[in-house]
Amino acid sequence: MRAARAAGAILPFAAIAFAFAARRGRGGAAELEPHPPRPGAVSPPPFAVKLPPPTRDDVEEGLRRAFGETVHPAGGLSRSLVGDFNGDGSEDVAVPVSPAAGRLEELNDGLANWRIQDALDQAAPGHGPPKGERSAVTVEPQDVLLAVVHGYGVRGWRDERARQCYLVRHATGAPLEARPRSDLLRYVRRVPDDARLTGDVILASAGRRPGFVYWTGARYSWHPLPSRAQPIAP
Amino acid sequence: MRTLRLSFLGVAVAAFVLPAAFSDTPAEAPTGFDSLTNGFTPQTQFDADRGVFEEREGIADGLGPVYNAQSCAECHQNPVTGAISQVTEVRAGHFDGVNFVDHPGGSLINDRAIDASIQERVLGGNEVRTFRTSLNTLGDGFVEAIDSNTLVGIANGQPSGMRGQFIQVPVLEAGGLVRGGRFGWKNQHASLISFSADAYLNEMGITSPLQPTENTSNGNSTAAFDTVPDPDNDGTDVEAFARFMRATKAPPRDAALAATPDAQAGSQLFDQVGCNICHVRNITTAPSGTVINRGAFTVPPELGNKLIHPFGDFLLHNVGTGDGIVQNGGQSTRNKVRTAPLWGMRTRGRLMHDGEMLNRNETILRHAGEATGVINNYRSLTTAQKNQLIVFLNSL
Repeated sequence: MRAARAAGAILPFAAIAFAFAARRGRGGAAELEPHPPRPGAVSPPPFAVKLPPPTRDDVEEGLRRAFGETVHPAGGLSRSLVGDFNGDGSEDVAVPVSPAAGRLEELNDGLANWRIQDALDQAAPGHGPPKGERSAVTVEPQDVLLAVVHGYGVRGWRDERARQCYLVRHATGAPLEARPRSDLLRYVRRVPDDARLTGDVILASAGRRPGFVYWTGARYSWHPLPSRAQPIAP
Repeated sequence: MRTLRLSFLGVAVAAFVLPAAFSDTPAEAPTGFDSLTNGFTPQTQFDADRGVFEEREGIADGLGPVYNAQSCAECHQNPVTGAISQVTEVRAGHFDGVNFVDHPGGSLINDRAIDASIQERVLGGNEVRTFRTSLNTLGDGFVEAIDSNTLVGIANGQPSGMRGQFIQVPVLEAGGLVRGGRFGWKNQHASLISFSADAYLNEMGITSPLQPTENTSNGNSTAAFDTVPDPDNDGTDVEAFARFMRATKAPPRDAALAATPDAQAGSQLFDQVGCNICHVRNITTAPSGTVINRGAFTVPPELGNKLIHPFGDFLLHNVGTGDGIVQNGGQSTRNKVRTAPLWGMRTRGRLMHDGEMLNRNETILRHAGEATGVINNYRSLTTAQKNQLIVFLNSL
């Protein structure tokens, strides 16, 4: 009887100890060789489809989709430029625009769906975080800005999903022409040491200095052309 | 009578404890910015390992010849040792139109050298350049303890246009056998020992048995400046770094902010918009006793079967931010980076892989590529809703 009582007292504790021991050792197995994962998402093939030149309607629609009614083309839609400016293989569009009357507050809203940048404000990557981003760049009534809408997939900036967009100050100087990255590389012989060219460029002067606007990977920035540079034939 | 009481007590305790012991319900992983151990090591060991992590190395310890910092804690310090900082490193190379080609001497361009004549710089013709911000290491023991198949399962559950890429990378301490990568911006490491040995060499210039060869300076030998025979360290420091990281708690939420109505509404919007497809909220680590790192480590009870909230999937995605660098994952990973785990995000002022984004809204809008649909959902939110989402992010 005494032994049975003792057993009755010990058994529950023994069971607890066993349970914990079993739990501790329950893994014991080696991590299995991973099952073959399904293929990761594939980036769209670059320019798989030859896209037609932009029409007035296309550009208006592209701007409206990205910016709503906050901007309108400055000097007509004939100045719209296309190219793969951010180097993702999808066609983008760039158009000089002016702020629509009465829309400045909306344009400069800190939670707006576009990013406002100044092409002259920041150094290229490799020179540290830009000064310009610290104080927000704002749109002024008289500004003429370069509106850029990044493309998505094979339809590029015409795709309904293409909404990533930028308003860039100091990026609309003459001649305002898009050039493939390869053209620029032929022209300047090699990539300027302080520019990270990932896509096509936009030739645009800043004041009287010829240069080009390019995507750094995070923003649009202006870079001067070498002084002995010759104009690139379209 | 006393035996009876004991027996009754034993049965009562067993009734409560046994179900818990056999339950598969994961326990919440401990969190805190408090420099206290998660239990993997005793506090005294944790403090000693943290001391090694914080130690400033000099030339006599093997520092350099080229390096980025004198101590792990120089880059992993805010708000406590092991976390993040604003410090970035530079990577560079060339894209020939088809493939990424490493910069001479490797894509990492060290910012410091023990002699001015071997200072590295980005050479002309290497137009692919990027900064990489310092990553958080708090809670990395739990991340290491995630079964690779869990990561594969997360990827397989993502929509095809957003499916993360799972890569397998060498585990140095297992003779180079591979395991699912999860550490570093390119998922270039799968184990904390491998990660530590890599960082000791590449960030501090200190060789160890797993990484015994000094880096070059832009491809040129630095042997003439290397006064300490290799390996500079016998590997004990690498083990201390890994042990420290394994014993850290995961980054905690800002509980007060998280409890606000705005943060709670923002939390729902986070899921509603689809951010949680890649910034995965909940992951459970492998059961204790599981042998991982190709046999080199066994998950202890303190790290096993724990529920963590990394807000990341530890997979590679192309979200249009470039990077352009290839490390362990092959050319298909050139423009992909690991989803940034958002735990501890409120301690960062500079965001994304290059630290170039300075506010939350711009950071969100910079996402493109695979994230396009999700970001378009964000764009359709009202200003008030966007603010709520940002309040939620600030609680992480």
